[in-house]
Amino acid sequence: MDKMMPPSTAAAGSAPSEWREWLQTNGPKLLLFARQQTRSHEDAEDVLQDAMVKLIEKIRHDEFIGGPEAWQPYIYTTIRRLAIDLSRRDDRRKRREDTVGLDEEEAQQQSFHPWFETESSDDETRVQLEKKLRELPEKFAEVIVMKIWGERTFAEIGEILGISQNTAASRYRYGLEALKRSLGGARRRGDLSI
Amino acid sequence: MPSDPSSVEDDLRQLRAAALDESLLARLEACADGSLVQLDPAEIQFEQRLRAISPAPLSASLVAALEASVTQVPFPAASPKIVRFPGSGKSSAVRHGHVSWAAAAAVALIGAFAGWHFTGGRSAESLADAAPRAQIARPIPSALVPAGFNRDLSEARDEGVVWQSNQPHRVLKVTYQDRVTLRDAGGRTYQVEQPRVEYILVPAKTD
Repeated sequence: MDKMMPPSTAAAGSAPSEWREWLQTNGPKLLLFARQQTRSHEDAEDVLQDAMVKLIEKIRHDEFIGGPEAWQPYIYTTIRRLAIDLSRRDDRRKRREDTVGLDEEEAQQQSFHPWFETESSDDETRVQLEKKLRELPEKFAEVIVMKIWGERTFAEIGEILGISQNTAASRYRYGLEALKRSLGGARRRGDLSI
Repeated sequence: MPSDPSSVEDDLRQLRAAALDESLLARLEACADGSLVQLDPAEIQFEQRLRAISPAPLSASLVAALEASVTQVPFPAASPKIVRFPGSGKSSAVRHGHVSWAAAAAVALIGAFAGWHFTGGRSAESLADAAPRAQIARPIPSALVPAGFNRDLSEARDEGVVWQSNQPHRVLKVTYQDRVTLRDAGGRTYQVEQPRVEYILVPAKTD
């Protein structure tokens, strides 16, 4: 999807709008979830934007049930659905294409768009964490991303994924344990700050 | 293996399903007592370490693109409890106020009629004097007597969603109109209407 062009009215230096503040506060965790759900940074941005547009359309037409506190569960759900749709389309496309060159190119591109903020941890920790999260089975990784960085409850995660909160908690536990184990070597060597 | 189906059935019946392993048993037990959703201190500690690593911020171009899609939509004000259901103009506080006043007025009117009915127009002092006898007092011919009661459903509205016990609940507001018909000795009828509001919480899914 092509991104919308920024409006000419969004002049640099003007006071941030409430929307901008909301996006700057919540956008990073939503994008992180989109990154975890999709295959590339560009796909993640597109999926996040599509989810936002769907939310806005619902608000605009008075069809959204709930207030701002219900936006995030809605966006998480929508990101997941859009990512699944995108993945299916990609699978069909990739079956028609020679993907070897593309995969390498994509992998190179990802290194320019880290999942985590560079200021909040050292490079090694950030890189290792991102790598291990990618390697985790998706059903564990998505719960971890929503719980830790999205700050969603098990009940909310259950709603978003269509599972019970106990199942969400189980997946979280397994995932956390698997992540701990896979980071274990580097942690023991003292290479990681976590 | 014997070819007789009933014999095969018997053989199969003697097999027992494998017992649950200890970890699954513990997990199911934790599900049942609700402790599965509670993290232990080591898990919380690891979780906090991970949380300290913040997700990367959105790029300026993405923020601008997202902002562009919301320019025509005013940022809605958050409501702490009841979320307004789309399409209704007035705030719930205002409408509840009207209902309260209307209800209070109707109750006062009914009270006045009832008072008139039971006292037969006598003063409060004479009523106090006659209190022991009031229980056996016969209806006074001039008093108002109930002649009918009617209840209509005047409005049912979805008021939005509230979060309660970590679950979304839809709030349904149901307004009834109770109508009491009273008749005096001369056969004249009086009607008193009283709105009554009930809120019903129904577990809901957000989408």
